[in-house]
Amino acid sequence: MEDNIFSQIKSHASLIKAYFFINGKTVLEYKKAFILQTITMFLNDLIWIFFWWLFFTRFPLINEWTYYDLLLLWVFGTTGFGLSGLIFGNKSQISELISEGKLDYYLTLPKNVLLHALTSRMNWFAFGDLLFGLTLAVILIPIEKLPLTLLCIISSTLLFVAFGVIAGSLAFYLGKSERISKNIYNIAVGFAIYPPNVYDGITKIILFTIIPVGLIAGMPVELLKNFNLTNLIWLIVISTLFVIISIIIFYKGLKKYESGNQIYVNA
Amino acid sequence: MMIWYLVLTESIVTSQGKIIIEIGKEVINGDIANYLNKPYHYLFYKYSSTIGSTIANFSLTLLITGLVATLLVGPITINPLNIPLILISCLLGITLHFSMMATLGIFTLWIEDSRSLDFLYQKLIFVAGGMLAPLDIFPTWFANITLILPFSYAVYAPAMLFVNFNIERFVETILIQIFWIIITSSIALILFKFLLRRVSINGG
Repeated sequence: MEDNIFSQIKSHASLIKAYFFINGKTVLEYKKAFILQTITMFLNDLIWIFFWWLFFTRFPLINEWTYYDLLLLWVFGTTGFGLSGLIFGNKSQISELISEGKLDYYLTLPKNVLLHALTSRMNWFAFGDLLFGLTLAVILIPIEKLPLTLLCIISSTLLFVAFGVIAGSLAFYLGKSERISKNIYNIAVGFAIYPPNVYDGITKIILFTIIPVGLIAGMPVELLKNFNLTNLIWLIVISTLFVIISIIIFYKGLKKYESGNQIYVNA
Repeated sequence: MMIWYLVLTESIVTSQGKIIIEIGKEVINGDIANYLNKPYHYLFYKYSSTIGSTIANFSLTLLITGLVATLLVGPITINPLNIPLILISCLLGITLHFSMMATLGIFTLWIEDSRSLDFLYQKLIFVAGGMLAPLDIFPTWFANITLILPFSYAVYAPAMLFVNFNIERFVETILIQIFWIIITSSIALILFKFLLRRVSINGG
């Protein structure tokens, strides 16, 4: 039985690797577009931190957060978003896959449906975010904090994917809900890249528990600034729980799934 | 006042949809050729076909965000006689916003990717246009730069009239908005002429 589980994990890891390389080769076939999109995304993120630099020039502290803290927030926000887009590129397309009946393709194949659906596409723009995040990380984060940083990046990535899956799974219940799903996902992304210190009281509690957007980037920044084992355990436990909840929500919704009878070519 | 400022900036910016991507797709796919044999100019058609839904979106967003703002911070004090003038400025701001997006949409003929341009334009409107925060809170050197660019007249200028109306500022605002609409529309029309040549050369 254990061998079976291990061989399943190995086989799915091979699937993820294969899709990553196939999608990567596809991306590199359109070099000009890829380079342009990467540069655009990099500039996009640069404009955001330029805006925050202007803001902090006027207001040097936001509830004890400085501009440096905000840059760290963007390290985890952009890196997590970038990695989740590169490896799990379909995370924000789940509702489209469901409402247009495109899940049929994945249901007929002997792989985990959710994992297969998530990894079968790569979001080209994500590379620009990843590059930006890594550039900031190299500049800002000392080498001795690398293990903690990597752990937090993995957590951020998985949380982004989990939010995408939950938002997308609404389509099982609401039908054609791409807009609502995308808006919910974008709200989560928006909250993640704002300093969590602007919130207090019940809002802050919610953002670090039930709707854990605060754990995507805010908590990693707190851990880097003032390491606390309780906070680290909290991050790992809540992130893991949230990912599990997203998987449960998807598979519960999958029981309601009906084929759209649409014919399309998957090449 | 900050909340009410944001009510109007959000209403203006979110009312139009993804014009750059829409026009960009039609340019790249060649669907734009379908419009060339029609007895109207493509760009004016695009404007007139989207302005209806834009005004509807603007009104709905203004209503809903206005209700939320009222609940949060109370109603805005505004002279009813100024409302038509503010709406004129908003319409000119929306037109300028469209004109800039249309220019970038046509530019995709050379760049071949409208999403990239859309992303960058959005950020320029957010920051230099004053959508995220009034330009007055930024350093003076930056605010001065934004005042010589068209982005602030699409969003910041109408919103400032909304929260702090002043007839001199109104006249100055609409004159500069009209100026920038003429400039950006002219650029869009010139680029469109280049586009037509490319369509013809490719056997359209």
